[in-house]
Amino acid sequence: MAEGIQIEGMVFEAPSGGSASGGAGFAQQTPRERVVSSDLTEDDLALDRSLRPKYLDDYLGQTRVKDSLSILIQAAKQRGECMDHVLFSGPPGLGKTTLATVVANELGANIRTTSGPAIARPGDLAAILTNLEEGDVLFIDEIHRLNRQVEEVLYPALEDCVLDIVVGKGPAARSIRLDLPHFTLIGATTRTGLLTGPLRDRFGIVFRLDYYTPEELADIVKRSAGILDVAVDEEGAIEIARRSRGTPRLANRLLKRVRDWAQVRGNGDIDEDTAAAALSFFEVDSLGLDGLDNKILELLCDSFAGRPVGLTTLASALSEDPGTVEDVYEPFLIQQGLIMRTPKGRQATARAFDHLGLKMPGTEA
Amino acid sequence: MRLIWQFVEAMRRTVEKDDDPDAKAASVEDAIANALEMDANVVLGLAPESFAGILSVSGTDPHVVEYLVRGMALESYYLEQAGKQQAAQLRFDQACALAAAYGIEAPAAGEIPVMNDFDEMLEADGIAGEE
Repeated sequence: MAEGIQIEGMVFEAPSGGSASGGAGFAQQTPRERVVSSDLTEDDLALDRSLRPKYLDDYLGQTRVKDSLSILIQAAKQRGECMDHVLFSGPPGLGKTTLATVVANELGANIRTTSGPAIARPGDLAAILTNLEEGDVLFIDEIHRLNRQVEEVLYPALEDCVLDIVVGKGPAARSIRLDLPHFTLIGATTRTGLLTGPLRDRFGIVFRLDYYTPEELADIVKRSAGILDVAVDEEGAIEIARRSRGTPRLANRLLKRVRDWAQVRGNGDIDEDTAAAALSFFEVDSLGLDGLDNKILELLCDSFAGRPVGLTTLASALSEDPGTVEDVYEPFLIQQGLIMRTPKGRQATARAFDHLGLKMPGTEA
Repeated sequence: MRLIWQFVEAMRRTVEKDDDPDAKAASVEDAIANALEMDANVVLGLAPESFAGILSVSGTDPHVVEYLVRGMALESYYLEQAGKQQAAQLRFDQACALAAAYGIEAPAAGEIPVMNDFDEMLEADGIAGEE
């Protein structure tokens, strides 16, 4: 019977048989438990509190967004007005929440934080809006998950800083407008496509956050290491950065794992070799792929011999839900050019064969 | 008058029903929402002063407000029993703000309105025994 070892948010399952590198005995990590998942975990929250930058000068990467924000914030402050409503979009873990806090700090404003799913009824939003103070920043995470009724209440608040309330019933019904304090809404979404047109149109400023380069992530790793009081050299930071899937949240998480490993197996300092050994131990390879990513590549390259494979077939072979494969595992593999979507199904690219050290069918020896 | 009578009857049904506090709170809130004759979904979420302001501006009958204040204090009690402290506090604060705006006696903290209170108010308004 396979046994699991749990280390701070990760579970390593012992193989139940077969080889360690593939097949039935391949160590599996569920999406919830993956060390390379960019989803927010309890561990991240604790880490976030100490590592999150507070002002634009401390915020590393996203230079274009930072430069634009700097101008918009300065202009709003000079005019003594609220900044226009801002929408941050992009994959999870890129710093949307952090940027919202940074904007509030730069504006010298209070920030009220909530999320789309938390605002279930129009009354919930009314409570939030009527408790705001002049100039406050209201941050709504996962804003694409607001329900339509709540959105209807939000529109007049965003455009005219008022709350429309219907009084009376039937033909006698009329509307009363309740004045709200001026505020800046900052919305964050991982799925811009799910935002309704009217809501999207009410954001005067829209920024899409990009994945970070390894160099930018290395700077973040070094900054975080300084805060955590861990010695890391340039090569060690780059090694962690390279395996962090372009995501600061993941870079910080991997830094902590490497720190743990270095403390127990090494002298506590992190250099390139230490980082590489620690991350291999935690099954994060040189591209930042974990066991399940590699299993997908092995299935496509080896078991299916490089032929296109339907999503459902692939999901069955992985004992996973097709939606999970599509939403959780596939995007990074596609973004890295390791697999592609074709009309006939998912297919491994030459880079995937290279990565696994396999020969691509139909190529010369 | 009919609105007030219906409201008090709704309170009576709630108090007499053998429900959990959560269901009782929901039942009182339904009655309040009906009596408000406005977008209760939004109004009941407002900050206390805004809530009282909206009711004043909309010209809600002061007689109805007296019953609403007691009803909201009762809902606050049920919400507290149901472990919803934040919602209970909001409803109590709204009741107090509403009472202040209309110059009527505010509910005292820890004092739970009982059916007798409502019946006495009905009698004072001359609508006791209406069917």
